[in-house]
Amino acid sequence: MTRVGDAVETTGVTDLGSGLVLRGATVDDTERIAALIADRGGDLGESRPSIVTWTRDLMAGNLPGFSPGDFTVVEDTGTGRIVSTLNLISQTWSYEGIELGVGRVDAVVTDRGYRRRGLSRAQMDLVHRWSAERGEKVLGITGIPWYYRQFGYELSLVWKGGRRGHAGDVPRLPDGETEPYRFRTATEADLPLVTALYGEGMKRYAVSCIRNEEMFRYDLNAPVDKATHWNITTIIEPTAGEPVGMLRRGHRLRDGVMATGIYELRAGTPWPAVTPSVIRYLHATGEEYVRRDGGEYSGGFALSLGVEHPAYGAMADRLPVVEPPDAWYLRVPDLPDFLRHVAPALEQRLKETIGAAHTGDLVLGFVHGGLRMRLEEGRISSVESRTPTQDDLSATDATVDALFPELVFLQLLFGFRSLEEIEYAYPDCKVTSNEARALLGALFPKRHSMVYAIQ
Amino acid sequence: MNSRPNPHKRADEGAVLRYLDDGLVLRRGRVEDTEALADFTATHVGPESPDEEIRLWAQDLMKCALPGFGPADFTVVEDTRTSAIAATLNLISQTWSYEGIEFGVGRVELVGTDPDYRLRGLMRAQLETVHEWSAERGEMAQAITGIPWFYRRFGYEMAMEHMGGRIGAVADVPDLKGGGAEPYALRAATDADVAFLSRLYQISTERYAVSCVRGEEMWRYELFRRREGAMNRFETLVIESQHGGAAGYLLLMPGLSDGVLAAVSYELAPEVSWMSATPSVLRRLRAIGERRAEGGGPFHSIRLAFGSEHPSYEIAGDMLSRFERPYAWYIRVPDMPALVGHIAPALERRLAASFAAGYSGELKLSFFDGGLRLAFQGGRLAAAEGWRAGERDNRLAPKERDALFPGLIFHQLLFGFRSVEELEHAFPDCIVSSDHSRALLNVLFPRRTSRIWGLE
Repeated sequence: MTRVGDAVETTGVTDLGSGLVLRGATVDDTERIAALIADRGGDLGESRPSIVTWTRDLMAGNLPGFSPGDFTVVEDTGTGRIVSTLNLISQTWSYEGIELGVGRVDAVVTDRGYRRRGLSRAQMDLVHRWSAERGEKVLGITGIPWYYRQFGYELSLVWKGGRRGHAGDVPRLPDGETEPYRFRTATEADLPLVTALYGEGMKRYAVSCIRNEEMFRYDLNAPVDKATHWNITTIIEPTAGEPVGMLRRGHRLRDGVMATGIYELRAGTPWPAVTPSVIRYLHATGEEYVRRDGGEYSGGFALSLGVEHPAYGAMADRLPVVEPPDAWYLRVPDLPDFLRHVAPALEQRLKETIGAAHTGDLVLGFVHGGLRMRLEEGRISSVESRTPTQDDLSATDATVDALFPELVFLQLLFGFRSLEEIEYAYPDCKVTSNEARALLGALFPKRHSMVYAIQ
Repeated sequence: MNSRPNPHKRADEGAVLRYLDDGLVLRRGRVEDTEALADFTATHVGPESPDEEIRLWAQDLMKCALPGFGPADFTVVEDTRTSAIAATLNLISQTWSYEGIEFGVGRVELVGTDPDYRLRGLMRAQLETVHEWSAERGEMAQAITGIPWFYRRFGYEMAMEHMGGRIGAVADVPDLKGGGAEPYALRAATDADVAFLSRLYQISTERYAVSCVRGEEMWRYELFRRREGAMNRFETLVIESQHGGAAGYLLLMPGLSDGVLAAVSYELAPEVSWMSATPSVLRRLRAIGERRAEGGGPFHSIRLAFGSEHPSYEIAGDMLSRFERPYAWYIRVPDMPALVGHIAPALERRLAASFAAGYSGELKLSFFDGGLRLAFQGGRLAAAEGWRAGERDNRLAPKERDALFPGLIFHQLLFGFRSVEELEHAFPDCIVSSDHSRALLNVLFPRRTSRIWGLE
C-alpha cells in the first residue's frame, strides 16, 4: 500500500502518487461527494438522504460564503472516483464579544479502501493553509473521538449538552386555562427579531458563533430535510401581542425525542412563564410527527441548550436527565496572535479581578513551545512566542510561571476547564507561584460557551 | 595485592549493549564507574547542582547497599573519545502489590544526561534497554517519578499518586490538656524493631490499592545501610506508649526545609487509637522541630506527606489547613491483558462484593490503537485479551466497544487513580457506551488511593 509521500502540486492539483490527485472540488463533483459522505466511505452500507441533501445544498452555493471549491477531494484518476473529501466552512465566532475568523472542518470521509494512506492529513494540511490565507485564527472540528489530536487539535470547547424530560415531566396546563403562548414558523419579517434575540442570548457565553440576518434567512429557505438538527425557526408569541421569543427545533424526532436547540426570550420575559408552554409545544409537535412519519413517540423532550441555560433553572424538576456535553476540537495555529487579538476581553476580565492594574510577565511553557505575555498596568502590552528550555520541565524550577504540556492550555483559554480541574486531570500541569495562579484564574476563568456553528 | 573477588560483582558488569553514533557506547554500569557516576548524577540529576544527597545515594547503590541491586543495573552512555559519561539511568527491580496480588515492577531512577549530549536519543536508547531488562525479569510494569510530561513519549502514563499531603502551622498544634504526661514518646528505631516495623508497614498497605512490598531486609537497608545525608534516608522513630511497648512508627525527613519539619510516614499498630496518639505525635513533632531549629533558622510548620488520604488528617482537622496536591507516578504497562489477567483475583473480589456478583458477560474496551476484551463467567474473569475495535467503531456512537479510553488513559482507571466519571470529565473522548458498562467499570475499577514507597 502506498502512502502519500512527495506530493507534487501544479495549478491547484496535487499529485499524491498512485494515481491519486488532491484538488478543490467543483460543482461537477457534487453527486460523487454526496455519495461518499452519505455512506461514510462505505462504513454504513447505505446512503443517508439528509447528508445527500446537505451536500447538494452546500455545493449549490446556497450557504452564504461557501462555494464548491471549499470542499477538498482526492480523486482516483484511474477510476474517476472521489475517494476522500472534507470541507472548510469559514465563519465568524465571538470570544467575549471580539469577533474572530474560524475555519470549521466538516464532512471528513475517506473510502474504506483508501484509508491509512495519509489522505486526510494531506487535505487537512491544505485546508489549514486555506484557513491561514483567510486570516482565520482558529480551526474547529466536531469529530470522532481521539482522531484529530494528531493534526494539532485539542478538545477544548464545550459542544452540545442539555437537559431532557419524559412524557410524565411535561407540565400540564391547569384546568380551565388556555395556552398563554402560541408558536408559529418564522417568516422573512421575523428575521430582525430572530437575529436580535440570538445575538442577545449569545452574550451569555464566552464563545459563540455570529449569525446574522443573512444566515437566518438561509436557514429559513434551506431544505428542511438537510442534516442539521435545529432547522425550524419558530416564533413564540402570546395569544395577543408582540412576539416574546424564538426557538429552533428539529423537523423530526431524533432518537424518539423532540428537541429544541436554540431558545431565547426577549429581555424581561420570565423564563418560568414561557418554558412550560415550550415544553408542551415540543411534546405536541412530537406527537404530530409520529402521526406524520409513523413510529413510536415516548413523549420525551429535550432542551439541548448546552451545559447552562436560563430555561434549566426555570424548569429544574421537569428536566431530570442531564445530557452530558461533548467537545469541539480546536486548533490555534498562532497562539500569541490569537491572544493579542482577544486582549481587550482578557484586559476586561483582569479589570474586574485582583489582577486589575497588574504589571509583570506571565511565562507559559508548553514543552514544545511557549509564550510570554507582558502586562503593564492591566494592559497586555505584548504576547510573544517563547522557545522552551530544558529547565521548563523541572518541577521545581520557576523558569516558567506555569507549564501546560502540549495543547492543554487551549482548555484554559476557551474556558472549557478551570485551572484547578486541569491540574487535577494532568498532574504534569504545574503552576509555580501564587501570583501566576491568581493571574491565570483572572485571565482564563471557566466559562460556558455555546457555539451554533455554521454548517 | 588483595585479589579476593567482590561477592556482589556480576559477570555482566560493564557489558557493551549498543554502539551509538559519534563514538558513544551504551553499556552496563560497573563498580569502577562508582565515583564518576556519583559525580555525574550529582551534577545532572535533580534541580540542585551538585546535589550531595544524590551523590551519596548513587554511591550507595553502586556499592550494592540496596539488596538485589548492583552496578550492572545502571546503564551508562560513555563517550569513548573522552571516557566521559554522557548519560545514565538505572532499573531498580521490586515487587508491588495490587490489592494483595504481587507483581514485578521495574523502577527507573537517577535519569540524567549531560546537556552537551541532549537531543541525540540517548534517553530513548537507555529506556529501550531497561524495558528489555524489565521484560526479561518478568516485570509487568515500569515506573518513574520524573519531570513533567517527558516520559509520556516513552509509553508512560501518569496513573498513580505520588507524594502530596497536608501542612499545618506549629502554632496550631494542640497543647496537652490537663497538664498530665504526654501519652506517647518517640525513640530511634533499632534492629530489634525491624520485625515490628515490617509487620506494621504490611498492615498499613491494606489501606491502599497499590503499594510496594517491603520485608525486613528492606527495613534494615533503610535503617542501617543508607548513609546519613543520602537522598531518601529518613530518620526512623518508634512511637511508644507511656506504658512502654511499640505503638507505631514515624519516618522523618532530616533537618528542616524552609522552616518546615516533614514526616513522610506515620503508622500505628491496629490496637492503637489514631485519635489518642495523633495529638501527642504532633506535639512530639513540634518538639523535634524546635530542637532542630535551635541552631538558628525558622520553624513554623509541620508537613505530613502521607499522600492525599491518611487517618491522621481527619484527627488533625483544621490544624492541617494547607493541602499539597499530589504529583503522579508515570506507569508503563507493556502487556495490559497480562497484567489484568494477573490481578484477576482482585477484580473478582470487587465483583463479588458488588451488585454485579456472579456476572457473566463481556467488557470490550477500546484504546483507539488497540484495546482489551474481558470475559466474565459466573463472576470469574475467564479471559483478558487484546482486542481492537473495527473501523465502524470509531464514531461517537459505539458499534462494538463498551467504552473508549484513548491512548493510555485506561492506566488511570486500572490503578484507581481516577474514577470513570472523572476521566469522562477530563477527557471528553473517553466515552462509556451504556449505563450497564459504566456500572461494571465502576465496580471493577473504583477510585482508590495508592501509596508507593518504592525501593530506591
